[in-house]
Order: sequence, then structure tokens, then C-alpha cells
Amino acid sequence: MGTLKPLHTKPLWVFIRYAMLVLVISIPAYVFLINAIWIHELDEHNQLVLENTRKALIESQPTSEEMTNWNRMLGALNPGVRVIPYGGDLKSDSHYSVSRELFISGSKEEEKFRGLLSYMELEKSRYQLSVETNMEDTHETFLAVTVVTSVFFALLILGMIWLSKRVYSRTFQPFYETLSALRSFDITQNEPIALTTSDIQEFEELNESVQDLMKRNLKSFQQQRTFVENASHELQTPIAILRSKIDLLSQQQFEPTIQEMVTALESPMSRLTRINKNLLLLSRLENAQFREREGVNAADVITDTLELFEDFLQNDSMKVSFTNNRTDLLRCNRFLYETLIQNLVSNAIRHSEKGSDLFIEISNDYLMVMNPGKVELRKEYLFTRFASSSNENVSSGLGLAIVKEVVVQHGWTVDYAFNHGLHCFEVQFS
Amino acid sequence: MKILIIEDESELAEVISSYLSRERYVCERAATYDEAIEKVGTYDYDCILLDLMLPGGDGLSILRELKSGNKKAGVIIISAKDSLDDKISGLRLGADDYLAKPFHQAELAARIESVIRRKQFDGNDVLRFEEVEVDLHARMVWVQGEEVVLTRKEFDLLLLFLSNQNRVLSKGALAEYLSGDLADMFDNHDFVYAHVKNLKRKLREMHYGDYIKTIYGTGYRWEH
Repeated sequence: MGTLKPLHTKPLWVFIRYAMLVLVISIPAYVFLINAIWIHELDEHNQLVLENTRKALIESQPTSEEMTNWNRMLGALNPGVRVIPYGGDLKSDSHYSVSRELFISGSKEEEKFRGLLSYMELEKSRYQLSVETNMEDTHETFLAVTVVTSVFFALLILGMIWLSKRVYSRTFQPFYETLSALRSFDITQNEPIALTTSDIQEFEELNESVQDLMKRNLKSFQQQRTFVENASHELQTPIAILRSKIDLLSQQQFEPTIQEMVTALESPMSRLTRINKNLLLLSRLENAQFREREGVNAADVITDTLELFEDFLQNDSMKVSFTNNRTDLLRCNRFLYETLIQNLVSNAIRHSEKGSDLFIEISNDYLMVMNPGKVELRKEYLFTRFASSSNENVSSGLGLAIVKEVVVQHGWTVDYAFNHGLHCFEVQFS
Repeated sequence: MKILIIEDESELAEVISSYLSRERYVCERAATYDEAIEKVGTYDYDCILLDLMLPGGDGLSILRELKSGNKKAGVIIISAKDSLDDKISGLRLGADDYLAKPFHQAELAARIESVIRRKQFDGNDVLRFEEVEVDLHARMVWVQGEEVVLTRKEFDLLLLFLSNQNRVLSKGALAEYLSGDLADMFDNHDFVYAHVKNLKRKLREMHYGDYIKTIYGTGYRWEH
């Protein structure tokens, strides 16, 4: 695929090429036609001059001496007409074209003439009458026609460009409206977008199909959401039962191997709990169940969260430097913001080696959480569900998906970068 | 002490009842809304465990019923509906505590213990075990009459041990009890060791009976 062109230029170029072809063919046709008319008119004119001359000769019946004078006089008055004595048989009239050199105002030029030859008998003497009229050269005609055609071709192109722009922008108005409406379509908003109606059949059909497609998409998206919510909901009770049974089991005295197995049940159990809880939270988030907004002291939440994480930080002897440059309250849902902070910080702790230094920075515009790392993470999968960007199995695979969703709900953005050996997650509040 | 477990999931009610019955609790069960309303209206309980999603009605209206009947029972909501709204409206209606499913039995036992104490002794209550005394309200601890200064987490751990005597408490249960939801985010719960170790050291310095035992590979137990 080459570069993309706007829709209206596509047929325009075809039209312009076709117009050019037609006009180019028309040039020789015009030249031929003009020449034919020209020759026809000149022949008529020559005929007329010939008739007049013949009539005058018959009326005046000149002697051969008079004829010489006549000829001279005629030559002066009408250089194309000549009457010369003729010895041969009388022939019928004939037309001819001839080019000869002509001296006009001192310069020599090749000129084209159209001539008529006729014969007559006067007082027993035979004469040849010739009438010649100067005519325009074909290449001159050709030049003139080409110039005129080019001018019209230019006019045609300009007109076509202007018209096509005008016509397309009007005709395709509903199409562009549909296009921009589709761009703003957000499946998570749970609303099909309204499309402007059009009086053009194709566009109306397009709109109908698009509406239909959107409705079906929304429906299946809704079903998927409901499914996730219901599934995680339904799973809670069996998980609760399992967990309580494990609690009871661990109270029993078993032989060491069985005891080990019972203890080993705990870790997958808590992972299951975690995944399910996060799935439930995600589906609630997507169903926009956290609509309340309040002014939150964003830095205090971070300080509190760090206190909560104290045990985990100490356990891995990590240090956190927290820089607070924020002066304003953050308008957000407190619970969601806390969840965001907890997920980002726990993420940083989990993915850092023992003894690492973590950095957190907040300002009125952004929040940054940084932790040291060796390899850049795969950005394209980072914020998607269950897409493991490293081969660690502690996380539920949903933490960053939750971060992303919280960010989306608040109209913020989140990005990841790997700079100077630091994983950096940055949330832009705007 | 009488406890009513209002829970439609019989398996779960069974486990809770069996865990709690080994303490000094007598457990009764109600599986439907009507059953619950009937039992609540007829008998007196020290603590009621209330599931919000019940066949036949909303758990919150049982709570309303309880409060209007001027019953002195403590109420702990145990709900799978882990949503903030439920928690807030439950507590506002007069529930004493809220525990989201799934939970550890040990944590439930500790919550029941403190709800009952708070309710029945008007918060002015001292929990005693041999030479160990714990003031739940003032959050102070004495061994042989001498005060032991504990951190918040050490104090909470002591309470958990006292509410689950002779029970094995796993590292995971302890971690979750101390860190709540945050414990979910990590697989490494080694920090529990440090807190238990400190608690044991502080109590030992005051010559308590060395009741906290380490169960190898599993967790800890308050033995006597």
C-alpha cells in the first residue's frame, strides 16, 4: 500500500486523465476539420473569382494584346489571378495545392496556396486561367488549436478539482460524520452512538450495519462482563468453603508428609482467592460501580500505603524514597486511588530484588513509581489481563489491568518506561 | 456463649460451627431468611454471624429487625458481596463488624471474641489467661502484673492467639490477619516470623508460661 490519498482525488485523477486523452485526440481532429473547411471555402472563393474573370473576359472579348495588358493589370490588382495563352487541349477545371517561396517585406517564407485551373477559348485562342489564394499552414493551425485546447483543458481541470471537492464534501458529509462518531465509540460506555441520518441510500445502509454491529458488540461485551462478574461471584462461596476446610484440616495431627501437603494447599488457595477477588473488582470497575468522587490528599494515601507495606518492605530490606510535590487535592474515588497505589507499590516490591531502593514521586500533574530492574518489560502486554510480562508467578496477573482500569475511569493515563535500569510507571493526572 | 450462624451455604455453616464449637461456643444455624427471623425473634444470642445474601430476603433487613428488637447480640456480617456499599450500610445499620468471604476461621474467632467482649462488658473488659492480662479497650498487656509494651501488630497477634487457643495458626492466616487484603499481594509471608518472635521475646522477658509454640512447617499454636 502506498501513501493514502483522500477519497475524492481517486475518481478525479481518472477523470482528468480521460479528459486529457479526449482533448489530445481532439487536436488533430480539429486541425483536419479546420483544414477541410478552409480548403472547401477557398475552392468556392477561387471558383467565384474564376467565374467573374471568365465573365469579364467574355464580355470584353480582348485581343491578345489587350490580354497582355489585362493580365498585367489583373496581376497588379489581384495577384492570384493569371490568364495565360495555352496551346493544349481544353481540360475540365481542377483544384490543386502548392507551396512556394514568397517574398514578404524582404524575408523569404514558404507559403501555401490553394489554386484552381481552368481553360477557355476566346476568339479562337485558348487560354489557361489560374486563381491562387494563400492559405494558412497546417502546422500553424495545429499550434493554434493546441494552445486553445490547452487553455480549455486547464480550465476543465481547475473546475473539476473545485467541483469534486465541493460535491464530495457535501455528499460525503454523512460518511465523515459516521466516521468521527465511530472514532468516539467506546465499548465500555455501554451506549451505541447516534449516527446522523442521510438521504443517500448507501450511507444509510452503512449506518444501519454499523449500528447493528455496535449493538451486537455491546451485547457480547455486556454478556462477557456479566459472565465474569457472575463467575467470580459464584466462585466465592466454594472458595470460602475450601478455605475453611483447609483451616479445619490444618488443626489435625497428621504424619509429616500429609502435614506438608496440607500446608502446601495454602499458597494456591490464596492465589485463587486473590485472582477471584481481583476479577470481581475489575468487573465492578468496568460496570462503573465506583462513581463517587471526592478531593483526596494523594500524598497522604501514599504515606499510609507505605506504612501498610512496612512489613513487606522490611522483610526484603527495601527502602522507599517518597518525594511529594503535590499541593492540590486529587479529585478521585478514594477506594480506587488507594487500590491504584497499592497495586503499583506492591508491583514494585514484588519485582525488585532484596535491598533495592524504590522511588515514588507525586506532583500536581503526575505520579511516578520506580523500581530497579534488569530487563525492560514487554510494554504491549503489560496492562492486559493475565499477560505475564515476566516469568514470576506471584502476581494474579490482574494488578496492572486494575491500575489501567482505574486510570481510565478517572480520565488519566498510565505509561511504562525503562530508564537507566529503573522500571518507571507514570500516571498522568489530566 | 451462644452464636447464631445465618448462612445459606450449609457446608460453610458446618465448618464455622465445627470450628467454633471447639471453643466455649454453642452454635445454632439458620439457612433461610424466615428461619433466621424466627430464631432471632425467639432466642437471645451473644453473637450473630450474618450472611447478606439469603434465600427469601435481604440480610440487611434481619439486621434492622435485630436493632429494632433491642437485642444485645453483636452482629458480624460475613458476605461474599465484598463491596464497600454493603460494608458501609451494614455498619451504619448497627453491625459490629464486617468480614468478607473467604476468611480464615482463626480471624473469625478473634472478631467474635472482641465483639462479644465489647458488647457484654461495655468495652471495659480485661481478657485473662493465667498470668496474662489483656485490656482490649486500652490495648494494654500485663504479665504477672507487669506491663508489657507491645506494638500494634504484636498486640493483635496476642489477641488472635488468645481467641484461638490450642489451634494451629498458619503463617498465611497470621499474615492476612495482620495485613488484611495486602497479604494477598505477596507470596512471601516471612515477616510474620519477626512479629511472632518479638512477641514471644517480650512475653518471655516477663516470664509467661511460654504458651506460643512453633509447629514446624505449619505455623504457631497457643498451647496449654
